[in-house]
Amino acid sequence: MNMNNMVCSLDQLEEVIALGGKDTILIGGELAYVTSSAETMESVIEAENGELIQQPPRNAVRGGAFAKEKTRLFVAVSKEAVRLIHGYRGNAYLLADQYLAYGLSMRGNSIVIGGGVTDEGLLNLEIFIFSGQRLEQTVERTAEHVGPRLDMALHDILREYPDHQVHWCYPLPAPPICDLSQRLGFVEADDAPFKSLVRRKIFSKSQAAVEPIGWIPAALLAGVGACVLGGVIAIQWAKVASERAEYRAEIEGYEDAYQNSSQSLDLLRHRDFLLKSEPVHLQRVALVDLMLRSVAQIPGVIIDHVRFYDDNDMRASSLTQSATGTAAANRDDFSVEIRVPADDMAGSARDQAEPMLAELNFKTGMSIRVVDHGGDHVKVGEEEKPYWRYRLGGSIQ
Amino acid sequence: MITNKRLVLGLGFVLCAVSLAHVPQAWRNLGDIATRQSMANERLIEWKEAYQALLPVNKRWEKAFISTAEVPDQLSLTRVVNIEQYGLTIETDRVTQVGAEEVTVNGMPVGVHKLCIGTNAAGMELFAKSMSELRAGMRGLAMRKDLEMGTIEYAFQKGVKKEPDAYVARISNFCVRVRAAEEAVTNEI
Repeated sequence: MNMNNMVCSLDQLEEVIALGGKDTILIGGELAYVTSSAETMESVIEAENGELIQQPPRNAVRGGAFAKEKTRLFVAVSKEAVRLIHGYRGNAYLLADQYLAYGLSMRGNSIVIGGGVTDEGLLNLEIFIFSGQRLEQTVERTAEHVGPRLDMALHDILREYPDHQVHWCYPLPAPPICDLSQRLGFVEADDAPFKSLVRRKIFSKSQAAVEPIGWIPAALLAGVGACVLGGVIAIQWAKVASERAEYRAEIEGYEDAYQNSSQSLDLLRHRDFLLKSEPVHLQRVALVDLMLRSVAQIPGVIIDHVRFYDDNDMRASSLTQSATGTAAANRDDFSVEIRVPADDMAGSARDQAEPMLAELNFKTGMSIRVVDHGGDHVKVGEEEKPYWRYRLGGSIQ
Repeated sequence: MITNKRLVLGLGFVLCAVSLAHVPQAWRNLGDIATRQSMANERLIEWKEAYQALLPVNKRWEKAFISTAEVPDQLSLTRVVNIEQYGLTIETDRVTQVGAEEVTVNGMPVGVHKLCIGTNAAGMELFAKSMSELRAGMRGLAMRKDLEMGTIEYAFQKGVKKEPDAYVARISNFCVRVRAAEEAVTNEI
């Protein structure tokens, strides 16, 4: 940083602007007023009656927004200087910001002395005292560039902070040989504070808020609410996501079947039922067999047919005469047609049928009746013999 | 006095309050979704367990019934029935298809059709040389689950002219159950 770019008075500023350069300039000296006390700043602003433009207060503690105790540096810039700066083509920053950053960057306790030389040739000393990486106070002194005068001007400060390292910075000229410059821990910092510039805008309107506007606590407060809400959503969403993942894992490969879940299950159940159930005709075949065996035991019987009906067979229905003389529909489960030799001793065909039916009923457990009967002749060998032809019906119950 | 700081802090507080006010509703709504999903999962798991337990039915189903594609005509149907293995005979040349119907269980189609065949209008006639052979053959035939038989009649048929006497089983609605071409349930295990 060029020494010519450090502007400490209106004359110097006008001169820089008149030269029409575009270099970055640092404003300090009598053009800027700094203090660590809000009350002092307030009273100074009031006293100057609008001649000073207050800038936003600076954090003056290491750790900035997260520090427990807030310490601030209040800054105001001459109104005239602000007006001129806005006409300048290059950038303009405050010297005080550089000293503040430099002081806070040091681990040990320190006193940073900067400032400038007034038009009268006096040293305008801006003194920043840092303790524990915090700006403790700022002091402004004016002194001649003469050893004893300088010592006298800083005497009380040096006595109050005997162990603080003193950093003597640009744009102050090299210190004279005096107690200050011979003091243990005295450092000629020169342009060290300007190695890395703090680029803070100089406002042309007063930033009256002495207190910080408090964005951070407000944002933290809103953030807490948002975090709680987000956390709740995240926890519940994780549950939903986990349930959905389980669903996806379970349904994999069964999507089509589950789409018609009840139908697909019913289909399988009905198929299972069909496979497990015995064929209906199995019972009919057994009944035919039983009837055949039973009928075959009648002496001399000729079996023409044994038939067991299914539920839809129309032949099973017949009209019979009831006891009251009315015709009634009757449905048989079976039909048997046989011929048996006529026994003259037994009497009529009906008479002969009675013991035969009783025996058949007993053997089969069915209810058997004669539906029709008639006479017939069957050739046995060379001889024709009389036979009764019976058509039997009934139910299996 | 209302300062900017208080305003901003108030704004932060309002935002915080609005967020917190939505917490119970968000918790409830998402909780409801999770609960519904959980119930759906339980239903799915129950269904899947039942379904998986029943899946072997499909294997048995395929073994039990031949596919429609494998029986393009009544000749192949007759071969499927394979009467001869029961010691019975039929007049193969007279076999015709007399009907086709969908099989339902409790009113629900189960993917099986019954194709009915017969040697005359009354149904199918199966012959045997003796009554005992007829009975034995019919008992074997009756065990088959891929067949349906309606009215069953055993009769003696006296040989006309030089034809020998025969024992005949006359069966109405003699049908073969065949699987429909499209299977509704495809999952394998």
